[in-house]
Amino acid sequence: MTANSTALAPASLFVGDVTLKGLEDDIYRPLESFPTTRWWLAISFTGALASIFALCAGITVTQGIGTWGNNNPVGWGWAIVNFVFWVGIGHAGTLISAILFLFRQRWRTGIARFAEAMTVFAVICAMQFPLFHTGRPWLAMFWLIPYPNDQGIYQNFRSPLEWDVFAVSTYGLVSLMFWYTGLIPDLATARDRAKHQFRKFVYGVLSLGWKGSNRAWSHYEKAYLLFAGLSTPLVLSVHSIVSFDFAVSVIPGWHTTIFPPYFVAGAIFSGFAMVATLIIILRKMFHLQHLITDNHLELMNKIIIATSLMVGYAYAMEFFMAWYSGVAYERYVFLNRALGPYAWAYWTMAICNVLAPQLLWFKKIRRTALLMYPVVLLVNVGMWFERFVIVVTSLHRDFLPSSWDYYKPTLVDIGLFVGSIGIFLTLMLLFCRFLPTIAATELKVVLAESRSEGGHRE
Amino acid sequence: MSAEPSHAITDLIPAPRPCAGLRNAAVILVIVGGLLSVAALISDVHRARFGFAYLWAFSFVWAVALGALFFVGLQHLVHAVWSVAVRRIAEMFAGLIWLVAILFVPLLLYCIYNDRFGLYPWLDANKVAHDSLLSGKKAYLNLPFFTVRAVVFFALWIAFAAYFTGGSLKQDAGRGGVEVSLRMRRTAAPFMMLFAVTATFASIDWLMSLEPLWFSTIFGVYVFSGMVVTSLSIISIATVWLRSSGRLGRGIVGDGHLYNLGVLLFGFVCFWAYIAFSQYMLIWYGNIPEESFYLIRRLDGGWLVLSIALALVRFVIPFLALLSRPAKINATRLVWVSVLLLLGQFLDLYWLIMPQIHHDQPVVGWPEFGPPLLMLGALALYISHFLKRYLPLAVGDPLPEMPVFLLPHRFVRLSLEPSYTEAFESLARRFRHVLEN
Amino acid sequence: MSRPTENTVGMVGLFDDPDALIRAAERVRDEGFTRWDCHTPFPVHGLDRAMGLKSSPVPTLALAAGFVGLLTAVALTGGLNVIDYPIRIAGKPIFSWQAFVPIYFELFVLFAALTLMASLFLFCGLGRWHSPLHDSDIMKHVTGHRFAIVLEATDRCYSEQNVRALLEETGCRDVRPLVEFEEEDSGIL
Repeated sequence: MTANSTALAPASLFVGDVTLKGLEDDIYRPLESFPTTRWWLAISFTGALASIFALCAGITVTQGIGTWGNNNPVGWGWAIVNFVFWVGIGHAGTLISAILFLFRQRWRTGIARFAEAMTVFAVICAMQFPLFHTGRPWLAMFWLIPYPNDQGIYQNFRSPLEWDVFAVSTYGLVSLMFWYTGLIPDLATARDRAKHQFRKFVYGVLSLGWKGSNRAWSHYEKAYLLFAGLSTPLVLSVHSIVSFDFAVSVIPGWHTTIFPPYFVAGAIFSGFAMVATLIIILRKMFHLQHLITDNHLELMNKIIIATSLMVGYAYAMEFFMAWYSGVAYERYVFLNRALGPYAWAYWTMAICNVLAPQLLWFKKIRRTALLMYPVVLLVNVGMWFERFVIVVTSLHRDFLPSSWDYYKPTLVDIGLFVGSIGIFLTLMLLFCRFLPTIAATELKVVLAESRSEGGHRE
Repeated sequence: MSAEPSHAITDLIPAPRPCAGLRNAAVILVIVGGLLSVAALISDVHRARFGFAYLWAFSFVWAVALGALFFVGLQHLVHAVWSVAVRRIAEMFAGLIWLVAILFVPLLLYCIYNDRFGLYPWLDANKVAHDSLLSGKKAYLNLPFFTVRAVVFFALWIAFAAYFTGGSLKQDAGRGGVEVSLRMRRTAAPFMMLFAVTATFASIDWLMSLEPLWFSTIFGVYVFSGMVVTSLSIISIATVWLRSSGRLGRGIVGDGHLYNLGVLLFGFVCFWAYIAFSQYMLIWYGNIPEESFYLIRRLDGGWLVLSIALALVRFVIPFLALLSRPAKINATRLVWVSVLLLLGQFLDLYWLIMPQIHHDQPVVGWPEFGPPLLMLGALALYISHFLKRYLPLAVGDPLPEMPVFLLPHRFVRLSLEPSYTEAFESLARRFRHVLEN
Repeated sequence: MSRPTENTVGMVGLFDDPDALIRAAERVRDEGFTRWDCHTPFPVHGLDRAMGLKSSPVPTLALAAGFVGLLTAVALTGGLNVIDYPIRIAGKPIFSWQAFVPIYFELFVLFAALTLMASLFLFCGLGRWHSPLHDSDIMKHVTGHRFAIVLEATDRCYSEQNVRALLEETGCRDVRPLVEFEEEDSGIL
């Protein structure tokens, strides 16, 4: 029985014999070697995509918002869909770095840095859409941020869009600081490993003179824990506030009380799918399979299926309550979603978000990168469609049937979205090349502890 | 089995013994509560108040049992290691669910004779016939379907409680071991799905449909969050009590366990506040008559005081009390915060249920005391019965090593299985005999 | 520019094992040293106590800043939307705290987080790039996988033989002097 009971022990986070030195070498190798041709090809491609964003943003700014597909009942089109999509992607990063940290889930260490970087970049992408929707982004600051002005006119703090300004900018800033705080000791390692004077200088400046002093560590650890503690409610608040954009209205399909936790669950769901999508490529490219193991993938897949079920619960609950409420408009909106002109979008969403992840019940699929890859790709698609369904199906048939219309995006809409993917991937590629993609310092702690007898918390 | 360190642990786990004090108190509570309940039920004036009070007290013990079942399932689902030392206490409360099922029977009988007493408006055929909204919901809100649903819910909950608690007790007796643990882990995921659905619809059926015209998609989550807070509170109180009475042995349940319970409690207190605020704010902001009347009734007149008290007792005070790190290890503070939160659960359920009968202000009199005393008595009786027969510690859990928290921030991994086995064989033979049959 | 001179400003003991470092730190603490530090590639648990460090004021500061943020938010929303530019929107009361809660919360978090970052600069010496440690090759070890104890020469318990003996007694097999290179400059430029 005793021999058997190891089956209950937590799964190993390393494959093979990993040493402190070997671990460090593996993590820093991409930083210390010249980019490969493949990397150049990849970044040329994503850079080209990003330039589409610049082009379409230019068209938007010079020609006006009329170049977008928004029409009369559908005043919010792809821009808000993309905004919510990107903010959602970012949430997995904070979840991994903060919530799993507070829950002392050590497996987070292997993927936390990467996911945090993703958060920062996703928030950058998300911010573009409301900014360009203002029409004149260079003036947006004056419209969005309260500042003393001669007109004596101020922002309306009762508006969920103003909450968004505070929530998303706080979120972006705090995520950036959290990420950077985690990076400092790793940057110091990069500095001290550097052979070349220039590299030493750059990482030296970035690491802010970190000396690994224990007097500093003692404050640092407290601060890191608090960052995690602050980020946890923050991440909930941000997507809840994003959901308030819709839910405080009185539009059937938008105004429903489950929106805040439902959006948060959806955000984590989409974010994890994106982390999985990218990290599978990363670990292959940089040969990190022994640090980002199949055990990591399996745990991520378990979270994906759990959040998929939560999202499915919300879909079902909305449907049930639409019927139960007895309100004709509520009932109509939900029937229209499933059977109306956007039924194709609705069923794409349902299949990608609820049905496809059910494949992850199979251990074989959870643990095989190639088999799970289609599933997580579908989740990325499905979560984009979820926001599309919420935004467009609720709006396109409003209370006045004479103004009903069918919404179609324009090329500029499509270009902005594709371009934002380009921005995101370009930033990710730069990150993989110039910064340590795995939190080396934290992984050293995990490694040191997995060998010693006693355990520590956190 | 003669490894040196095991002796230290062996001496630390005492055998189950009766707790006479608790049982006597429980018997008195049951008698007093039972008499008050019967008195209210047979009086024509107070019969309606009795019905609501019964539902109120029933939902409290229901939340305790189901929340504990969720806690047990969650620990298996996430393969938690730290919680092994307190999981049995949760299993004990989860095992309460069959008693809750029995306590549901009077409620159902009461509903069947509803024409006379009026608990759920949708039971009144006359009212339904004259209200198009109500008659539109007839497919869901009708007594036969209501009963069938309740039977299904309880069947599932009892089955899972028997499965988890029974499996763990079987391990105490040295049977099953690793296989049982692995099976419970595998079952935890489907359990969670069924739990989410059943708990949601049970709360819609028993609590939300008291006001059948009102609807809120978050309602199930709201009740769930309160339920988890309640079960964590009662688990914390029981842990501190059992530890101080020596039943958990010494050194096995340490400050680290209290800290973890405190963190979870703190987290779910915040979660409850988040859900409660989301529901309140969205309905306030939307200000649609279909939904807002529910809140207006609860924020008007005498009910406003209760709403404010609810926010203070359920969120503000526990939040501030548990905010700092040392506070979560402080057993005394954990206990009084937990007691406050149990009170908060009573308040919350009162806030959900009672405005349906007392429209203008909260009313508390002797008819409201009968059912809670009865049910708390039943709960205490159950606990004393459990503790007489079983160990409050999952001594048979075959985890290869379990963290023993001697200090809040450090733990020692200990191979407990041999020492547990020895403890069981030397001290609990009589009880093992009971279990094995 | 002239030839740099070397000043010995302290003594460094390098260890391969964190437990050895903890034992050494306890010794150094008990000897009454005050100007000394440990340098490690990752936080070593138990070292704070071994060094006799007081608990960090960072949490208190962050919490206080959070409440300042909360008050700022109350003042901001109340001052602008209630007092200075009251406007009735969607039939809501002029002072509708329910709608201001998100702002209260976000500014609480923002102020607390900014304070955390600032206190890292303040207490961890971030942004100070110059140190004799950076000039020597000791940093290479302690950001990699070794552990160092550094005793500064300015400590009143410090004497070269003393410290070397102390470190060697605790089992350190790699004791090195810490050297500062000073440019011998004659006035400005």
